[in-house]
Amino acid sequence: MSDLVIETHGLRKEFRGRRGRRVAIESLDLAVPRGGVHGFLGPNGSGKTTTIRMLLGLASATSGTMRIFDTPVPERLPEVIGAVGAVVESPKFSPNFTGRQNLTLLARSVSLPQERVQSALTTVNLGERADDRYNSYSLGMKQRLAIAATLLKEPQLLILDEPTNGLDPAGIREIRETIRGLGAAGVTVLLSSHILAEVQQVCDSATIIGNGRQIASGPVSELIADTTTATQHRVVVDDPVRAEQLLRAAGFAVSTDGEGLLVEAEDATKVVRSLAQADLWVRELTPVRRDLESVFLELTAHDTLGGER
Amino acid sequence: MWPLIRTEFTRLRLRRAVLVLLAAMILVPAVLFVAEAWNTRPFTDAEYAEAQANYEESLVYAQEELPNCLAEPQDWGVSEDLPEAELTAACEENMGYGGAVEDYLYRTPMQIERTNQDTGVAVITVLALLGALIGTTFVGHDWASGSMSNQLLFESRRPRIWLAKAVAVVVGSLTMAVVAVMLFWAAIFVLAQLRDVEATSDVWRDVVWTQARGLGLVAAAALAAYALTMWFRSTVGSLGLMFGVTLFSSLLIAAVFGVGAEKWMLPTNAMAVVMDGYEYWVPGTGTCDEYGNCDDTALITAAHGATYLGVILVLILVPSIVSFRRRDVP
Repeated sequence: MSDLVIETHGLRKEFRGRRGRRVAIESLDLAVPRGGVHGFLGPNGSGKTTTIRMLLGLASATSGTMRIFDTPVPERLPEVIGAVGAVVESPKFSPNFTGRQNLTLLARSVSLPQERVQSALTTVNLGERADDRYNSYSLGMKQRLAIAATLLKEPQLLILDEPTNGLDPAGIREIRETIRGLGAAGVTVLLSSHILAEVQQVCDSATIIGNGRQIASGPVSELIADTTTATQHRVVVDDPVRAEQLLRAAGFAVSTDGEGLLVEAEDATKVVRSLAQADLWVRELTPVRRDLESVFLELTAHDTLGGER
Repeated sequence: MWPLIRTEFTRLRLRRAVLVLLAAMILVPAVLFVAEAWNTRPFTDAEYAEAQANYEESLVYAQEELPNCLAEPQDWGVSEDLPEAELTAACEENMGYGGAVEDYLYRTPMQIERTNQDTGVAVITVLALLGALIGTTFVGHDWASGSMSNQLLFESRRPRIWLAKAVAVVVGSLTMAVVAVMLFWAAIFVLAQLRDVEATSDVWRDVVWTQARGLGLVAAAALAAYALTMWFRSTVGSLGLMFGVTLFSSLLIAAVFGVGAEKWMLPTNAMAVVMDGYEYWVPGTGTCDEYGNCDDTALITAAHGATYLGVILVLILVPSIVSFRRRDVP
């Protein structure tokens, strides 16, 4: 049995429209390991949602192969769909039905026990508003109902596409805790998000795609470490203009940051020594820790947003 | 499959627009019954008296004008070449001479045969339209709200979803149509009994078959509208197409086929199915009579109508199923 819950090889999706063909996904090899929370990152239009929709059988792939739980999809998707919960893009329910009615219909369609409806509603704190119409819900409540729908199946794999969109800070925290909890409980979560801090906080591993292709993949800590070739330091001196000229002359990459300078250097002592030799004394020296956002921006810097080909 | 069908029935029952249309399936035939009962109400003594007076007045008028007609028959639409005896008879006929008091009663008493062909067919037409609206509204809502994709995340076998919804639409519409038709004809039967209107068993058998064929048409209309909406994924688009076809297809077919175009028109073929054949005029194709009228009639058989509608239904169903199976779902 494969250790991978989701696996794609050479996945390609091409849309045909009046203005010709547009390639949304090109040769995507995605590998999501079993267990934990896996982030799925990419700029808008990079093909994250399209990939998820293809995995779930909502869109067809132009070419390539996909497997979920080692089962080829979409050919044998019905065999595994019962173990996969998903929220794709925005929540989609019948607006005139209550939250409970919407979930009940979904549960009943595949003979799931009705008790799970109440349980799922309680889990996402919608119990009190369960009998109100869906169109009276706030965006955050709609998101929570969508997550409740995914929980009905007690899934082994949860695919969440921007699940915290529209939630207030408390709601975001709640959902992130739920995701972490599910990951810890053995559910594999694929989290597509444009909020990089969220992925860094919640995910164990991540895949970054840009322009329909995979750019990087692996544990979040490794992704950050691997792409960090130089360490950045924030330096504050009394004469930043002269200090910048001096450091540039010494071969350092320098940029300004308010009253300080951002200097790329493997060894901070060389920066301090260079400045001290010119009688410029460092008042403040702070190593700037790289985060997923900087890694993401660095990796996707050369991609054309929107994925047009 | 059964849980899916049951779910679709629940979804149908919960949808407000569908409930309104289902209610209309009972209310509109009820209104048509009231109209039928009123329009065929027995004549009152006052109405008889008025008719008698009008009849007698016309006799007096005819008596006065008869000499004028005999003198200038062409002014009265009578050929002057007729022999005298026939001329008198023709003049009297043109003036209403020899008529009856009943000719002056301006409505027709209840006749089950006529009710079947007029109001009974109207009931079927209304039910078919409402069935089509239910078909398109029910599933159009799924596409408009995006909940179709949510349903597919639970049951990914698309043909099953298509079939379950089709069963709900057809059975739901048909059940309500059967109830409406039964209530309408039960009311007509009671009314006929109260008015001592008699009908032979052949007439009642004809009523049963006409309504049964009509109910088949209701089911087909609901299924076609549903399939069309699954194909175009929009209530507005499907309704637009249906109204467009209803309004313009007959004009287009008439322009293309000319004489005898009725054979290829949707309404006439639907009528042929419901009424077990539909007769229409074909101008200038028959043997000319003494007045130079050469029109003839032609018949669209029920079998022709059923084949015509069946082909159209297949032409809608196949692309609808194929499209739902293969196209990306938003």
